[in-house]
Amino acid sequence: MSVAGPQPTVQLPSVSTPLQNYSKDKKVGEGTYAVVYLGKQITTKRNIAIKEIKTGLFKDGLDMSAIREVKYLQELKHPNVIELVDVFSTTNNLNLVLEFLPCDLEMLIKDKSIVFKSSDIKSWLLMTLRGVHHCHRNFILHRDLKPNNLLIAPDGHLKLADFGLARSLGNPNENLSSNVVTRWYRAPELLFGSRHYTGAIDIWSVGIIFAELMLRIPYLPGKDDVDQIDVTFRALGTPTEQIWPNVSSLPMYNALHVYPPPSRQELRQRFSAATEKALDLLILMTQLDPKSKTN
Amino acid sequence: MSKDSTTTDNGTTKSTTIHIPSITQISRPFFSNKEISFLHSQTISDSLKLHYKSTKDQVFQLLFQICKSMKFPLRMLSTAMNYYQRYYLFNKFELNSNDILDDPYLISLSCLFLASKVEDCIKKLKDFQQTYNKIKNIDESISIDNLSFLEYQRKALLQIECKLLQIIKFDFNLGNNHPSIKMNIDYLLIQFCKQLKINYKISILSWFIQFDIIQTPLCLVIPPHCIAVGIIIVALNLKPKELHIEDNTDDDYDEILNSIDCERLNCPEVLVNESIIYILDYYIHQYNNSILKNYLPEKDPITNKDQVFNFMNLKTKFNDLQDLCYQIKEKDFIQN
Repeated sequence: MSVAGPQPTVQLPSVSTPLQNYSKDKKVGEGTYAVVYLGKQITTKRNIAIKEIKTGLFKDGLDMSAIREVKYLQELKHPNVIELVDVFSTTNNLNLVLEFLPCDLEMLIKDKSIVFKSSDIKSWLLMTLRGVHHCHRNFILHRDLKPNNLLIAPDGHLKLADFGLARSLGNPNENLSSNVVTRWYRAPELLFGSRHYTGAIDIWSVGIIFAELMLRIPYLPGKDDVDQIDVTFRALGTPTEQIWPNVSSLPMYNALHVYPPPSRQELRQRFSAATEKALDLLILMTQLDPKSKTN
Repeated sequence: MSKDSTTTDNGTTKSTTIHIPSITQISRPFFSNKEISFLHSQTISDSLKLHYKSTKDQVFQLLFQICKSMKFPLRMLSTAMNYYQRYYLFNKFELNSNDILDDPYLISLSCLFLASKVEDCIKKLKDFQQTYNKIKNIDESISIDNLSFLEYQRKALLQIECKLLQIIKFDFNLGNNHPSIKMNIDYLLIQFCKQLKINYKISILSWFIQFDIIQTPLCLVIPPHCIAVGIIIVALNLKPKELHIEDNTDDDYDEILNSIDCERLNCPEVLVNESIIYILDYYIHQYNNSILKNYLPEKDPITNKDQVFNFMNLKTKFNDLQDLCYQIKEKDFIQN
């Protein structure tokens, strides 16, 4: 590479040295495009997580999800959204310094030795919804809500994480991809391949997480995309033109087995510990027609 | 690769040893005009100033063609143009370099590619390369350094991308801390026109002006919403009686002008004024090369003078404003 030109040092506030500023102590996980380390911010002794993204590894340069994650986390600051502390780069890698959150909701759900009180579920749900509301009021869809992405801080605060699929709701003419959200938490409009959708898809995911918190097992575990449609509507009824006008014009609305919507009694039996108010909320969050979903 | 590390941190070009120096940089989405001329004086030698300008025009023309053929939205183009101009604030502009990494056209392609990711319009890098090579008539079948040409080109593009990411300091919002404020002028322009109930004629006129203005370094100086308001004010002041557009509703433009409240649109008036002056200056000097020229009649039907006189008249009108801004700026300067 030839000389990159004289690099003016003026006007740029230089404060500290990021590499020496953080320590990478322990590797805790490896995702599709990143390795996560635990470490410390040296000056403050604060625990942090470093997500190291290998930029050079990909055929198409820096991964889109990394760009999304940085882009949206830079904008969103909220007690219920994970904090992006810093971004720095080394020769080959991009490093995101994130708040250290040791636990996630999936771990808790799976650990059967922990008993969930209704107050636990309520507060987790409230914190999730606060975080989601903050995203939505900033016109950002998370698009990958699941217990695994709801992290819990040592002080009990729940925070939304993993904004690798997030995107802003911009131009209404733009087509969005319907292939988002982990399958079990995918809203019916996505299952039908809708190219235009709203925050209702996140609310649906929260509803399904709510159900999972009560059941302690995944509520709608479809084996594949086709099975997901069947599992979803067996539990919640098949949408028809009557309850969801124009649903039949969505691309993948065909050859459906028509299940009746569940009666209140059936839901009561399925969620035996739920109060009537909890059921009301669950029903509101899992309305099939995105327009009638509560927000 | 050791040289790479030198470019990762602006200001530390000297050190190439194992110890990688690192400097925390805060994103600088905007620069003052003075800063831009200083930076340009460091990166563009006097003998290349004219070449820089003409290359930029050609490069943007190429980007426009790529966007058109790959059906990308305009906002991607303006983001890429922003990146391209930003790139040359910190990197030397070379015309006859043998290094592929110095090729302004390839740099612009990398800008466009990064813009596609930032603007959520992603396509495969290979598609970009193929469209680019086709438009530029580049033979893809040769091989360089034992690599196929596409692979060689891809490597270069990704190296440039890496540099670009450093230059924008991983700030993908460029100054818009509030995500609901879209960074692109065209989007804002349409929203503002709608809000202000501006008719089709003026809206499209603003849109043409916008098309000219996104190619200028104004986007490195003034935030997009202030430019958008500036454009609308200029368009309303032009009061075109004859535009090559079918729309005969002539609203009371003065009334709309009076109703524009910069504060309500969250645009500091100083910045709006600065963008107005810039736009007028641009047309006074560049009208004959502008896109707008294709849409306005050659002579103003009322005064029977060249259109450029309209911009000059407006400029005198706005000069008072300018004086005012300078006063305010000076005051700020002293206070700081």
